[in-house]
Amino acid sequence: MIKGNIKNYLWILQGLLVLWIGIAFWTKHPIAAVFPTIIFLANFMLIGAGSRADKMFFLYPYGAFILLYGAGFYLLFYYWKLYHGIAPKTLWFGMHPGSAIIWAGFGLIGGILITILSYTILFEKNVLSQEDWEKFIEDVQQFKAQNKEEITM
Amino acid sequence: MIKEIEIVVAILYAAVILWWSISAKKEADKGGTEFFASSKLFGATVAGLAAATTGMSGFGFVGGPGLNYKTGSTVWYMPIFFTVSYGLMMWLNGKPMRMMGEITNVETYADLGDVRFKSKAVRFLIGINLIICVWAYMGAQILAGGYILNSIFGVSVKAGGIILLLFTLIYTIYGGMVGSIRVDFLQGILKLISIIGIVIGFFYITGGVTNATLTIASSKLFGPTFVDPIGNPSNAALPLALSWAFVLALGVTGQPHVNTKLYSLNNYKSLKTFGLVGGIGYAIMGLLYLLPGTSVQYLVASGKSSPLKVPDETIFHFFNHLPPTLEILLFVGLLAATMSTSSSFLVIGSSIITRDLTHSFNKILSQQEEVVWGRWALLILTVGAAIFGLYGGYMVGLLGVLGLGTFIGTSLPVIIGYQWRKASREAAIISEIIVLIMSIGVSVIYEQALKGHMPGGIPGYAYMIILVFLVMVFVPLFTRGAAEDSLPAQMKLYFKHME
Repeated sequence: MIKGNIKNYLWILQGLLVLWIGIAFWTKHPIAAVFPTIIFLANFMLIGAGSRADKMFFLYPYGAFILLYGAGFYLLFYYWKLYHGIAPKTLWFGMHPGSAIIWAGFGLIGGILITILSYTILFEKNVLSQEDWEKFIEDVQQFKAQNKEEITM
Repeated sequence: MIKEIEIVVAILYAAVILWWSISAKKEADKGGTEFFASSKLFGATVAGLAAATTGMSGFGFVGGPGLNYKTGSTVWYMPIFFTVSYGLMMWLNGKPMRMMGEITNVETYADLGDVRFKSKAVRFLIGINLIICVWAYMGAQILAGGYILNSIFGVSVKAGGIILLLFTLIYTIYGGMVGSIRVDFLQGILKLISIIGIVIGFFYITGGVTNATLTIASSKLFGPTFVDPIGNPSNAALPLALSWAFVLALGVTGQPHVNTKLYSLNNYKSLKTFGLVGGIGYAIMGLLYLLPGTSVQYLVASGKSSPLKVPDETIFHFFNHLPPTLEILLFVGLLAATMSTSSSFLVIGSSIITRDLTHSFNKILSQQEEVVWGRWALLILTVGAAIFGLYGGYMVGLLGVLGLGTFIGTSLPVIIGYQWRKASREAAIISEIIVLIMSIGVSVIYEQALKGHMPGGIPGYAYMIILVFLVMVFVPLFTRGAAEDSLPAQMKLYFKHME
């Protein structure tokens, strides 16, 4: 799904997002960098999956990543303003809600269950199937036989 | 009595590490491919745990709790977004690095850059940029190791650093990357066991998370901002924390000492679980950043301890308040943490000198010569790192701070090059020059003229990464070297199956 011109546009989008993030930080509007950062990071999974990204991939991990980190940062800022300068009245897992969001939301769910585990679960479908790998190895052997001088460094 | 037991444990630990590493010598002696990259020798569990433990350095073990004590919950962004980066590393680098290992004999990041952009200049610049990082990180590791031995045996920080560095050198000379990964695996297990001790220790000291949070939040010395990951709206924590989310989520994606472990996978299917083992392992080790620092804050906030003058002593302060059995258990984990990153850095640095820089000038060594010269290079690197770490002073701290950004900045052109056929040689060369200039030149301006305050309150390396990214995306729109139709033959084959 992500190949050819679509991939080119995706990389240009990445460039524009980084430009936005840089300007937001430089002009002291760091909160304006949050959502572009989330999209920027999620896009790397899309780029990695490339042509193997299917509709389901846009739900998990791509959409789940954007939704979780978007909601997480929203709540982070909400509780930051609510308990600014006072001891928090509500604790999540015994922590300030913001700390709990970072640890459980960003780390456990966003980091492990979405970003990392998705690679394991979707490996055959969205990364590399056995059939594709075997075709690749076959081509490599053929290439090596034809271009002996090319493959030594 | 505790000291005596710790000395016995340290000697036993040293003996096991030496034996474990020397047993890898036969494998490492086969050639440069094994010595520098341990190509296709390990499964996902060993390589993944080695990747996790290499990511969590001795500096993290000492510096992490210190930062937590000093800045509060803001530091939590660091281990959390670093964990995310293990997943992004797999999506971006997993398949490309494994595929290139089949197409040609790549062992280093500079190899990847040279093959992708067909450019000795790219290879040379990557080599130079990475050697800056290696020395900077080694300098920081020496100091971290020095603190540990100083606290336990009472030797000076400098002497402690040198002792640990020499020990790491010995086992790395024997085993190269093969030995390094084996030892990292063992050290990873020890670190994970020691985390159990840290969790028990945290509850033993604080009585629970709620108690710790409320005590710290209500204390005059710390207050509510220390339990809030954003802190006070008027302070510098917000832009810093958000820039960490941006930079550290790319974290290990651009770290050669972690990514090199991908070469060592014995089967392409190992990719499937390599990141899972590495990421979960790192996430568990990341508790190191959180629990000891919070425990010591609790001790100080509740009046059981005086405020610390040196935040880097937080971890030792935590140890001193634990029962003896736990203290010894954690001591082993601490020893493991000190060495695991240093050995990988030594091998990476050695491969840069022996392979990357020589290839840049068309001097090709045989596989056996690479091993011999690689071992000499290890010695040179160690001497250089020791001088740099002990006498570099200002420069060590400076480059230590910028090291992470320099790693990512240097690796980005390679990562983008393997994901985008339009990425051009010209963009890669300009990017590497920017990294070279910014990692040294701008860091001096950042430290001296701006007193550590870049516009917007974010670290200088974040701007370096942004600039490199912009160059790698927009320069290829106007240049074509080693891109699209001009791709080298190997790369055409690669992209045919990659995309």
